[in-house]
Amino acid sequence: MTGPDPYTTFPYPHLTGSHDEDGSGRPGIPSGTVLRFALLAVGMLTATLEMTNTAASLLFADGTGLGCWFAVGDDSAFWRAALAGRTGAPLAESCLTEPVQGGIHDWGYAGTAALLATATVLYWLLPRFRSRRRGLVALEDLDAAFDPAGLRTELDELVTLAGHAEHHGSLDSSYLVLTPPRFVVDCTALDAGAVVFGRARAPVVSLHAGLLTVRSTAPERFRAVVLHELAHIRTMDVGLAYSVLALWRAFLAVVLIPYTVIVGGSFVWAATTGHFPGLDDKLWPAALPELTRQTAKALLLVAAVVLIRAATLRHRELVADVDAVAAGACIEVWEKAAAAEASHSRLRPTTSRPATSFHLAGRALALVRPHPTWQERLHALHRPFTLRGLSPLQYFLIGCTTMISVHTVARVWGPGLEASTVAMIAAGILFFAVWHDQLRARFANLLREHGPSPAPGLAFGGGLFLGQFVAGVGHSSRWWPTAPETPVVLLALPLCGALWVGWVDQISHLCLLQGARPRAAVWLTAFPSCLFGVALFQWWVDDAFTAMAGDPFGSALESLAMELPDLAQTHPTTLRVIAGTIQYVGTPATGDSMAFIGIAAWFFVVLVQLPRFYGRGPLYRMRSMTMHAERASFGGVATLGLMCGLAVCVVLFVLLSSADSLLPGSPLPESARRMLLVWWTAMAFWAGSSLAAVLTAIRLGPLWLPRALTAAAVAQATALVGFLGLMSFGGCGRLVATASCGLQSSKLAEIHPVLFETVSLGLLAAALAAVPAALLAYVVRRPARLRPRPPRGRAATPVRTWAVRAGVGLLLTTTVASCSASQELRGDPSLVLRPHRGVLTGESTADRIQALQLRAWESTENPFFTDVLAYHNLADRIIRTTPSNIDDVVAACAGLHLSAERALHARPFPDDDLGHRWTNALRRSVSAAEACRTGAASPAPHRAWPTDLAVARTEALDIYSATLSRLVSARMRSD
Amino acid sequence: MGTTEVRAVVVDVVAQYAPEEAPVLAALAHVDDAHVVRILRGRRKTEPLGFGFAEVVAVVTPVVWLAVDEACRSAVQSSVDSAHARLAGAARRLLRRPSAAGAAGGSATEVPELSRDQLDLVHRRVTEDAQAAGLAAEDAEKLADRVVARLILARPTPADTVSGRDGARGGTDGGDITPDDRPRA
Repeated sequence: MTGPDPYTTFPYPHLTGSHDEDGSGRPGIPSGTVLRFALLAVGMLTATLEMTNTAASLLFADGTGLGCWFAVGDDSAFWRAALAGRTGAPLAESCLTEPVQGGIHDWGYAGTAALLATATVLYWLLPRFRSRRRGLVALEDLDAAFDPAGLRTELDELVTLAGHAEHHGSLDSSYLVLTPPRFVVDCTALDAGAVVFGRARAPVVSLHAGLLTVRSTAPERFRAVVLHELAHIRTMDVGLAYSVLALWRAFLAVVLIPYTVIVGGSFVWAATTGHFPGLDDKLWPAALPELTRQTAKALLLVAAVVLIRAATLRHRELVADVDAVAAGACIEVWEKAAAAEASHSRLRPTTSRPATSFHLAGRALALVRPHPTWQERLHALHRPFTLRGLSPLQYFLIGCTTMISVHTVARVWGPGLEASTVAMIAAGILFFAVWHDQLRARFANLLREHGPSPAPGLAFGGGLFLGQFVAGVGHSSRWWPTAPETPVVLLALPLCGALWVGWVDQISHLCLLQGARPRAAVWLTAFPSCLFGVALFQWWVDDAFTAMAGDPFGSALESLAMELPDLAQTHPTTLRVIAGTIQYVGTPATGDSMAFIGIAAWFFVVLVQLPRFYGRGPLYRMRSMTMHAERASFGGVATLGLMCGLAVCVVLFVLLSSADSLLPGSPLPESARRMLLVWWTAMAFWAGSSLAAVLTAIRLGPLWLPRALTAAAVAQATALVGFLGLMSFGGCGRLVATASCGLQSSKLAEIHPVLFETVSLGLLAAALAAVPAALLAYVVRRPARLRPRPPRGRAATPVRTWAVRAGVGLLLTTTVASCSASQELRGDPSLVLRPHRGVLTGESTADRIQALQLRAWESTENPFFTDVLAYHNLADRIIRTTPSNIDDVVAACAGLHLSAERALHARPFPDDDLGHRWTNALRRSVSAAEACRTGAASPAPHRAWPTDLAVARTEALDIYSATLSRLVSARMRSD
Repeated sequence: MGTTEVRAVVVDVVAQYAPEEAPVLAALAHVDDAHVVRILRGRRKTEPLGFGFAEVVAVVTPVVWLAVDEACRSAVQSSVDSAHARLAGAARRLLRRPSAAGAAGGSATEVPELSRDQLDLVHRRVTEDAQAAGLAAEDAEKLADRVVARLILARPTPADTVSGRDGARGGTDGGDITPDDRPRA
């Protein structure tokens, strides 16, 4: 142990008031184990829902779910068009919405209920089985060789010792009561270990027989082992470990093994017999992309569950080690074990390539082991604060699991409140994880040396990205959507992840720097942080994800082009960008929430500093000096923001006075001019605030994100004041007070709501622009940062003039005003682009699937077959012509041969009888065409081929007429 | 042969050579011989909430017990080597049911009469295993000597031979060896 626990020691004792003289400030936040267990529960329940649904859809398939997959996989363009209601095929929509509303998802609920029931039963049975294991002997029944009386006395002493020890956790030690355990000896275990089992209120410590041998030869080892087990009991690990164990075994029995058998068996069956259970035997490969994606998703979830389970159990061991040492265990026991482990690993040569691979495999294997290595345990004992944070891998798993869970819940229950609930849980997990990291970093003085690490945020964002990739982009079955903007939109996920984690991390630090006690700071930041996270998730699920899927609900560009045809002709690129922006962030609800996020993110930065700004006395000055000393001051931010804001004003002035399209004399109608004005003004605002944020963020420092947000807000407010001034003076100001400049003042009020809302989005855009800039600066400046810094001198007392206070007040007023103005957009019906998606019910599922199959066949395969008929007709017409041209006959027969071959290799008609007849007819056409080519070109008359050709043609026409009637029928049913 | 059991041989050797392992043997007194052999042969998996020490603290006990047990089993292999006996044993292990002898409290493995070659094998096995477990070569040799000596001492006395098995020594060629004639590996 190398110092005080950050949870029990106030980070900045000199900043506290008289009420905090004791220096204690326990945050009372959940420990790392609770976070991991919560994540495990979320991941396991999501995996159960997903995997049970998939397995049930194969096992009890009536074609509902898989038939829809078929339709998606076979013709995703048709499917997306059907979703938008533009194909006249309501069956497709019915097929899509039916699983969403129930049916197959009931199996997911049933699987989840079975998992929880089995886990509950196992939770109660496992300790019972364990306690009945052969070879367990009570202390009282031991032989004299063990000195049971002396052993009992020593164990009682250790129990007393462990009960009063300090707990290295987030909870106050006084809350932890050590339930005196029952001690038994496991005569079948010859190692010097011990184990705890039983129930939380009736724990049993099983001492291994080898440990009793050690008691006389190495008493410190005996004490260390017993104190470690008692620490498990005191921190209530018994119930948690058995919960994890029961959940995992139930998951294996109820979900994983059945899923593997059913899905794997279905694939094997399909590979060997050509028939996939639950799907049409000819067209099942069309569903393969979706099936593969489901399998990949399941595998990813299982991997996440395995890793989180192992991490949870490992974490408890490390915490118990720290508590055991705090209770008096000798740390040399761990040092000796670590040395033995190191010498053992050194014996293995690692220079050769196989040995290196083995070493890497061992490291990977260590991630799934429930016990940490001795090196890890010793490291945790020397640096116990490292237990408080999550590793980047765990941040990655949080992102991955959360994204898949949100999509699963959104698909099963709808994208509303339920998905937000999952997002809220994930946001809570992440929030507390970031707080742990924050306190750990404060304790280890890491921030002053290295600044905030971008690794957690990037790992979380990477997890979001992978989760989205595996969950599928949009409603199509493609791994990668065809929309060109997809890569840019997907990159928003890592950026959003890094932004959110960075904001929580730095706002926590800012709160601590203002002298807030950790407990107060945690709960002060909890609500805005979780709200921030939920809003980001909601935006992604509701808008970005849907828009990226291929515009199923109608194109914003088409709507704009219809409303503003002149603008579409004169400024097509601008209109395209405007449409894309509206599609992703421009809907009223999303626009409001995104603007609110950006403003609130900055507003909170100001809010937590208000006491320092307006307070009096040496304590507040001391806080400002501490911020300077830690390179966390906001000096220079306002100046930079002001300059960027003025630059925006200049750009707007030039734009309004010189852009022909915006002048009243331009050929564009008033609405188009207003649209352009709002757009270019917003672009100027966004560019200015983003520039201010980027220039501030690249300086890094512990609070680069709050500083960047503040600079962007100052730039935006300055530009807004300048813009309003310009417009109030006739459009371009009195410098060029001509009647042809800009809009009239009376028209200005009409665009205020739209303009304010669009401009308000600039804060979030600036924050998002600052994230990659800061990451880049972090990479570039990392070598310089790693060099030791000279100690900074005493910082001068910052000057808080009335002008600065007035500026802050002005900023707050502007922010509140822009928020209230943007609310007016809610009632604007012109921006509601999304039509209501109704639920249609129709015929039976089998009929609908058959109709979909026929429609899909018609759209993709039918041309091959019509080509055959066309060439048949052409050859027949040439042959009937007298005299017939031999070259034309040969050419027609060659075309017939080619088209018939292609039709033979195309997907067969989705009907057993007709498909079989088609195959025969095509083969006959191929042979007749071949005979025609050779016979017609041959000088010797061979009169059999015209007859063969005529027979083949007649047969093909007969079959096609039957096919046509089926297609027409399907079309009529689906229309 | 008399009624000397493998456990008794191990206890004697451990008491002389590694008295600090006496508690281990005291603990193993609560487990029958067949289970002990399974414990000594098997590798114990790490349990959740266990401390994590996986290495067995007793060195001499497993080495001696396994070597003697294996020698005894190979000596009497012919009597239990039928397919039926193997299947029954496997089923018992699977169902965790004790054998008839074990259920009656008589599952202890007895030491049969060992030939010179068999004693030689025991010596070699103990030496190798003890060295593999970390004992020095000299100590391993001494331990093997003690084991072989104890096995020889477990041989029936002439009175046992006369009263119990007339002419039974005719089948072996090691009956006249003494501890000083112990085989050298």
